[in-house]
Amino acid sequence: MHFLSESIYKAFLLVLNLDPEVYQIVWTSIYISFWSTTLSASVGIPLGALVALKNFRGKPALLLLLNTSMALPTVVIGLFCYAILSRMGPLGDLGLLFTPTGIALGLFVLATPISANLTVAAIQNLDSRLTLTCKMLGASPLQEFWLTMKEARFAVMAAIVIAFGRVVSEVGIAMMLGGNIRGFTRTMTTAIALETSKGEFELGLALGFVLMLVALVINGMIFFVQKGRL
Amino acid sequence: MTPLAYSIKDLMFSYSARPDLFVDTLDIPAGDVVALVGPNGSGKTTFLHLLAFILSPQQGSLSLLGHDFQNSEAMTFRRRIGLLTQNPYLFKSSVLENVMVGLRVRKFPRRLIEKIAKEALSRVGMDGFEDRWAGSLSGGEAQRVALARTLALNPDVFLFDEPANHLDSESVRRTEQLILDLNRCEKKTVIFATHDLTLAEELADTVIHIFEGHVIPVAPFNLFRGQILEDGAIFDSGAIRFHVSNTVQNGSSILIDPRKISFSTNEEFQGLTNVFKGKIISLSLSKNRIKLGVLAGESFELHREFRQDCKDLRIGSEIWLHVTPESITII
Repeated sequence: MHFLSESIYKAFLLVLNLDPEVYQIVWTSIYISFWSTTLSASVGIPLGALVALKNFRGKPALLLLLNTSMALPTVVIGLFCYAILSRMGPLGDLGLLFTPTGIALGLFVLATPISANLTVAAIQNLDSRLTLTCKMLGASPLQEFWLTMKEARFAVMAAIVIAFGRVVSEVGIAMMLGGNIRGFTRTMTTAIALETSKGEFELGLALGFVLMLVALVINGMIFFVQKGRL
Repeated sequence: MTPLAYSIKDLMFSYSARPDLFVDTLDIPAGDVVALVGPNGSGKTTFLHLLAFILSPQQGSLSLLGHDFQNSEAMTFRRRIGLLTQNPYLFKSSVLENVMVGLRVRKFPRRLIEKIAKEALSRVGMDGFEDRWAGSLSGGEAQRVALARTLALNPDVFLFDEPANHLDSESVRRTEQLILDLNRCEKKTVIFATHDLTLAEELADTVIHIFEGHVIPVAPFNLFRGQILEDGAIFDSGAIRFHVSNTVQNGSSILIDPRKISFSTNEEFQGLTNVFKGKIISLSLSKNRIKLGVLAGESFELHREFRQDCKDLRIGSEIWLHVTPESITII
């Protein structure tokens, strides 16, 4: 009990004293998560909108693929991305393996189905009278699309926040594609795993507190977004 | 010659294999107030959506102010129409934004949009509500905002689907006055759907009766299904038998105009045909018109101007109905 309370005390000191290593790791995590979420939102949201609003051949198959992708274990995504980014893989020449960009690409693969599926759900849950209203106002197809997306904005924003929450707390992909290199690709989750295995509970706990704080902020954002007035 | 707002010929639309709406020939003069009257599910809304070019006819022709409708030009046609639906949708934004959205869609000059929207809100008694979140409005307030959104568009033709829905009596009166003003002051064509025959007759120049997707010549009330017996002289609904004019040999339903059913609280109809004894099951008075629901084998609806003899009518009291064979339409 004494050990635990002492570890928690030291962890708080690390956070409050602005320990450079802690903040380097936090910054790397947030930086990678931000870019992977931005990239996944810019692909996933239009893809989700397309699936929700248009009828085309192969739509059920695409929906099935998107749904299945949500359930993929992160180590499997990491494995595939590793094969692609490794020196012998098709993108090996780009030298992205064990870089923050490499992790961001892996997390992009993880987050895109989340953004897409939640966008599909957001649009499909819109009031069925919306389409009629757009038509009777005389909206063009593009105006109708814009008005639809505007109506789904709160749920779509929640999808982005959820995707961010998923990537910031991910460990398997970050470990496999980043290599957990100190000061370069070490993220909060990989650092926690490493420091715990070394018996350095203080740093692990300190990062755990920050990660919990990030989770709290994300959940707060989801709460306000879903209330529709952010 | 009066220009035509709509000219319709052999118009057909169906959601499934069976036609849901068929209109043989119908011309609606520009500047008229027209009421579409029919029971729920008769095809009024489908007809309005066709007139608003939301739905496209599957057969026949439809023209608006002399221009034949082409599917490829649906958006252009829609922009000449203002449709207010029965249960309108408001966007997740402020009341003012909701009125402005249509103006933006139809590309009104930017500098005028806010002014027009505020004027429209004022016209429906919603000034002061501009910054309210649309989701926080009551049903009646939402209906008025949607009405303002339609008015702001200043279309050639206004289409209203059950405009008095969700409204209190003051708002109903205001809406009725608005329909008349749009027509009399702004010379707009107004077409509205209602199941209230009294309202239709009060406001409209022309009343079009719709029943089971067809335009019919009589009000679609007192519908009884059954069969014709004895060479067309009797119609048997199962519960009661009606003597009918024996000019039609076949038909599976009859309609009786609610204004043409006579009633009496004593036995003055003795010796006449089609006299049915029953009990009053509902009674309402609106604008000097009385509506009675009577159970006399079948359930009848009667409409009549309020007179002194109506004072004695009570729910549950006995009543005799008389239906002349000529007032029965076989369909």
